[in-house]
Amino acid sequence: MSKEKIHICEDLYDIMPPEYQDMVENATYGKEDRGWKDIGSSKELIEPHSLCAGCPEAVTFRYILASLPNPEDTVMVGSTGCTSLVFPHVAIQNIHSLFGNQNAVATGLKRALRRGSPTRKRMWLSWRVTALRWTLAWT
Amino acid sequence: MNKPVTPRARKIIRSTNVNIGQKNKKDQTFTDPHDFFFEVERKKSFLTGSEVIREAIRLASVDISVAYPITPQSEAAALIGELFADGYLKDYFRGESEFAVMGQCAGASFGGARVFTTTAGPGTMRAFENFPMWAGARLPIQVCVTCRGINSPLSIQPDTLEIYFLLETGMLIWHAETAQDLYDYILKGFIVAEEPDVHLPIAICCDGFFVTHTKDTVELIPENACLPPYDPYRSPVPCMDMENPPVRMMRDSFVMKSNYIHYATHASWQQEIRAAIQRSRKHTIPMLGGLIDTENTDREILIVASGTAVSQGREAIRLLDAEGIKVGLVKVKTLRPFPTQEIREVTADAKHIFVPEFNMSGWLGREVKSIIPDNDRVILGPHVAGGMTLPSEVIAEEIKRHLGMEATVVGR
Repeated sequence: MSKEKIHICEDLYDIMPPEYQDMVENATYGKEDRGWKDIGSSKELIEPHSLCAGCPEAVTFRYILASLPNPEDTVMVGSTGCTSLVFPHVAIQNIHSLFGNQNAVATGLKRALRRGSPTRKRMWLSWRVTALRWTLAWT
Repeated sequence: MNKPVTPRARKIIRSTNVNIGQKNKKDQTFTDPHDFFFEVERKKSFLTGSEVIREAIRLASVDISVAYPITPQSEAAALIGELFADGYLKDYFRGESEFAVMGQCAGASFGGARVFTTTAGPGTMRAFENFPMWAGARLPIQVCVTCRGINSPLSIQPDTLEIYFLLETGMLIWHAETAQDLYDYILKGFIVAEEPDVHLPIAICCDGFFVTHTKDTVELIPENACLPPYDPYRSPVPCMDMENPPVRMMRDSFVMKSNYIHYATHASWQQEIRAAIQRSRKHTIPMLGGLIDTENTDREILIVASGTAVSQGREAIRLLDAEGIKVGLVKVKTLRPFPTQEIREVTADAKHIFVPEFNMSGWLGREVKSIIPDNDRVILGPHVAGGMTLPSEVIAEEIKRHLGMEATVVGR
């Protein structure tokens, strides 16, 4: 996917939520040297969420999302837990399925997408919440 | 109730990502589903049910299949591996457990693949949490369930109890009587389940061993034809292939929120799954020629059954006929959607309705009881369980006993 895909139709621009306009204008999709230093100067891929105040997972999430090398080609696969509250608030594709099957879902997804486009580099972030353990995989 | 429609009267819109008539790398021609099912000349073969699963998948343009051993589906899973080795499938692998297999199927389906897997009894139970998740995520995965007893005590024998558990998962559930049914249901199941207004997982159930491990004459579609592939861009939910913008799917998260919007969203989604099952009727009726088959339903005594209990019921009817007792037959082909109106209509004049089943609970009998008026007409049983056979004599005797006739063993 390229950043062009998230352009807003001009006629609808003024009625889109301001945070979405901000994402289209100032997010770092496609920026080759994107990283944690962009926090504060760009639109982050995470919106205000409902994790408890002071939760370290929220900070972890912000750094990970800022540091993904290619968020436009990333799917986040999560399992049920506190961070399920965040999944709907991030601007990368995500799948939430069940307790403890995120690696299986990511395996199936990876093999399905490899089938369609064997040469394209994509990343899967498989995220297990309670243990703060996550897996990155490239093909 | 939907009006009866002939297959030709309602043409299913085919996939648009390949042209009909185009060939795949195995030199099979992508064929319009209606020609594929109803026009192409079939050839008779003598095969086991497991081999029939292989032959169906050979023509089904399946992208990915995930395997895990559990008797009696292991042979079918292995035979699909042979198809992969021959180049009919794009990917095939073994999961770590049944729970992982169904998760891997989900991931592959999220990625836009046509996915097929098989399971049975304990495997079904171990994988179970995934089935309502598939339905909730609108993943049109097909699982072939070759029913087997649920432990404990240990049994590898046929028993359809697991279907009872599957009924409320939100999946489409069809129950094959014979190897021919199994072949047709597997192929037709993909077409119905992938319709945009249905787009649900489908369980094609058959009775393990009775169907999978016995040989039967089956009319097969020629190997040089195949179904059009799944087109994920007709899905009512976005395919996770990075071709769609990564928009936030929800303004507010669904979980842990004690508010009305959360409850209403969840409740309406569950209703939508059930509505999608009902919408599948209009695609299923032309494909299967109706959700039920009937024989002589003007008679006062009826047998209503699904799976191989239909075959046993049919034999019992033949035995009773020799004694002058006339009995009609209703074969239930789809359990979800349940043929509520159809069964109400054909049982309207019946005085005694017998529901023989290969399980202890009598789920089909309960379903029938719950939808017809004057349901004391429904006699649950006879039931067998744990893999016992259900001799046609037992059904005939049950009917005679209920009618107050001497229960002699018929046919001796």
